[in-house]
Amino acid sequence: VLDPNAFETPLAPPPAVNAESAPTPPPAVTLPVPSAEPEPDEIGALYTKYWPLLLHIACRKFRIEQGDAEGLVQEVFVSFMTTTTKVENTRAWLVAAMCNASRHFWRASARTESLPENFDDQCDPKSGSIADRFAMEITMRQALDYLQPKCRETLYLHYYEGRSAGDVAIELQTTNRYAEKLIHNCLKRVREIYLNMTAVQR
Amino acid sequence: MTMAEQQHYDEDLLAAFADVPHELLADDEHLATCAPCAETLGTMRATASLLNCREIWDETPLPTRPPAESIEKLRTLAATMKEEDEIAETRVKQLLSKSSDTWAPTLREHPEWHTAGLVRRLIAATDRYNYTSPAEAVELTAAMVEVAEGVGDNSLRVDVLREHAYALGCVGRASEGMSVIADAICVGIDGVDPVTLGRALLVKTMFEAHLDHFERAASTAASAAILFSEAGDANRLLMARLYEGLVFVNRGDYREALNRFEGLDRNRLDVRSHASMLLAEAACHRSRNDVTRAERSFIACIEICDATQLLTLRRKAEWSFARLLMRNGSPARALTILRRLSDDFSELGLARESASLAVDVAEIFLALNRVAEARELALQALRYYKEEHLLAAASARAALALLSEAVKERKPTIEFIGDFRRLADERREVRLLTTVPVAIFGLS
Repeated sequence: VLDPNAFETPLAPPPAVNAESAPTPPPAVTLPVPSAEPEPDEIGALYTKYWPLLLHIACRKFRIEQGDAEGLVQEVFVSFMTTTTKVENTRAWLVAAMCNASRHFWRASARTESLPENFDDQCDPKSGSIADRFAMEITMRQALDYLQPKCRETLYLHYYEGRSAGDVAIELQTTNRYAEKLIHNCLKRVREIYLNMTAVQR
Repeated sequence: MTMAEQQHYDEDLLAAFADVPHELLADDEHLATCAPCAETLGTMRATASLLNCREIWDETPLPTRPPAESIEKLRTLAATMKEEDEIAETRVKQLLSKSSDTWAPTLREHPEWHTAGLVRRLIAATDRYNYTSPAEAVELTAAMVEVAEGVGDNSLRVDVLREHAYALGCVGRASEGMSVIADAICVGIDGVDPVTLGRALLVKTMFEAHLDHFERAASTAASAAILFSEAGDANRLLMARLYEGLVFVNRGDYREALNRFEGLDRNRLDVRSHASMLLAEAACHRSRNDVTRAERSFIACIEICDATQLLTLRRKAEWSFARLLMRNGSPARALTILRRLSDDFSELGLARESASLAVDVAEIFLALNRVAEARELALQALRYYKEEHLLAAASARAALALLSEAVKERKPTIEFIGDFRRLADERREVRLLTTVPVAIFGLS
């Protein structure tokens, strides 16, 4: 007989907040999430619709090789089709199942390979839901593809690598003032593209 | 109108603000009052935050369309499932039209029936037995477990084990049910379906609450809530919250339980869960000596049960109402209701309820100085608790031991009965509420 405690995987505790020192944050504003289209009835169409999202989760979030990831997406869909429980929110269910499948994959591989960082992350507390978060990531990737290479590089240096405007200026061989201007303009531009993309889809 | 309100900030400035910690902008009057500027700044910050994410910058190209053969595989599976389900539909009708003692033998005689489709159809049929004929639900689910073992689909195995555990819980076979649900979770933990695992955890919550493991029960319900939340299943999330409330009822923390129930969106609860919640709420009010609210909740619960033919739940509501009468000086009326319910519970095979109800009736007999009848009923209840290893539950053991002693002494007094009730009454009675068939399976 299983130890009744065996399944009790620890859950991420809520972030600690010091009520006295922490300033009140402004109300959270998130980016719009693409698509609220009705789900296709036909399984092939549904699979095609969610394939990029689920593959993104396995390959990018969980760093699983594409071949293995494709197998996991298939496994998730078989589970989706055979579950006896009515699925209330298809996208959220698929994303949660894909995360589970990816975690199982790494646990099974853990004996021979080192685990990627954050492989066991719970839902990002900053976003409304983990499914929304992944959908936003995919859209943002697409938005970046529309930018000029220099703009893309600027955003990468400043927002991903966390480099200051001065560092960006050195890297791009320009003045501090121009680098600052570039950072702000590129941020505005990518935001504008993102909002246009989601507006069209909605 | 001030200048600060009149003129919007331009986007260049707001883009610059995106890097500024929000506490440094807390004094900015315009941002505090201008919704469009605050919104623009919010999306600038959200964009910047998203750009900090590793996944955004990964250069490895990924295909955007699945391979044609994998689509074809899924289409073939869908067609097979449809065919299996159609065949199973007829077989299940045929099976269930006969008496319940023929179900398991018939399924054993027909190994060719053993398909995933048959299991799916049987699972769909189980729910109605849980609420009308719990003993038959146990037989049906036991037969399903046998069939599912050979089908080779772990998700279905979790489903049938959970259904079987739940059915066992409904008829009071707690230790057996706990073992079955532990097996279900053991299988489900390796599956990918978050909701299936969450549902099994919710049934485990029920057993843990039965066995007085309140902290564990609360933690299990919370784990289920996280799974439902991640899967975007608002209805089941609500159900997990309801279970958390029921754990508080079991723990005797009525105020907290009522707070939890208050926080639930009743309009989203399905009818059975709503009725179950009203019953638990009524017990909380009564335990806090708020007879008026308790009565109101009982009546609302019974009305729902009548309108929707929830027979088992109605009986439990009547039982709880009878206990209100006992406390409010109408033992004769209470006794009439309880004796009728006792017959019903025996007929339905609800062993746990029968045992607990026997103790209630014994209390009334004791108060009426009908000692021999009281002793017989107390012993009957004790036999059940012993068989089910529930004597470890402190309140049940204390209550029944006290009752047994009083009966042996044959010197019951009104004062003694009052003390006895104070010690045992609340906890034992409310624990029964976890056997209320909250409709966690009624959502699909």
